[in-house]
Amino acid sequence: MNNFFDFGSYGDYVLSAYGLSAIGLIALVVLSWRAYRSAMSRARTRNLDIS
Amino acid sequence: MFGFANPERFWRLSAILMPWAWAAAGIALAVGLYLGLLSSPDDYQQGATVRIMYVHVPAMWMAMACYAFIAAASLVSLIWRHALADVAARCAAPIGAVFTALGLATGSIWGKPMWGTWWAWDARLTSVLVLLFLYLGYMGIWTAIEDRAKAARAAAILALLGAVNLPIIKFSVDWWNTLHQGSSVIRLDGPALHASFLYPLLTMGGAYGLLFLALLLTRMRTEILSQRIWADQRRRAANEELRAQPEGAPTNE
Repeated sequence: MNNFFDFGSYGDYVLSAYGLSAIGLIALVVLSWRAYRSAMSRARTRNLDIS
Repeated sequence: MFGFANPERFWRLSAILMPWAWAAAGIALAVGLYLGLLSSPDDYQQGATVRIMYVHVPAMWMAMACYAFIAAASLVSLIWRHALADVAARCAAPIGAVFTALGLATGSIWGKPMWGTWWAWDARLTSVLVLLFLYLGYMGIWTAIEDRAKAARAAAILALLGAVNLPIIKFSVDWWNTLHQGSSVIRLDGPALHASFLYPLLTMGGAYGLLFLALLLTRMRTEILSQRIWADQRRRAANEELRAQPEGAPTNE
């Protein structure tokens, strides 16, 4: 397993590239969903038609 | 075509499309990560660092495709004053900015072991940095100008002017001597990559594209909802104001 994550001694570079991509994309997804859910909740409170 | 871009029709259509786009993006990302990290072989020259390609190249594809989308939506907005085009362009910008930043960061991480440096002021890297600044400027205009119509117009003009940068990014490796390698996938004579690298790359490219679609639909629905809430707030405030006036008092009308 350690051998796999070593990536031929380039593990630091490969894993940091994937890690950074994961952090950036997950942050984008979470922020977008939170804003969407918050807007849906506010619209429901105001009895707006969201169907 | 514009019939489908009607906000009400978009609202109903996006409600159906959105869950499918999220599910497809999740599945494609899982398959792409498996192919890229576990199944794909090392390159005979670059070793395991070639795996960085599967997150770097799709991020750059999406960075450029997203800007092209914003420029096209801006053109529609300027010519036909289509409200949904503004919404689409505005909502795509933060997604494109993140893809550009990730493309730059992962490219820099890939460059260190291959070129011996994190950064070089060559044509490809510099033109991508300019793309990031264009995204930031575009989002800045929407934040800085309160009047929505003026902000949309100014942002659309910037987006169209900035579109000149797209062919510069694409052909920079052909026009100038750069550290960056030439095109190896989108070429007139076909991809120069072996299938064992090409399929994981195309899978990740598809996954990033689906993720863009899912994010765009979600953000556009959020923006449309926010506009409805704002309109409702104004309507209620106007009603309150009318109710607060004593009967028979003169109104502004």
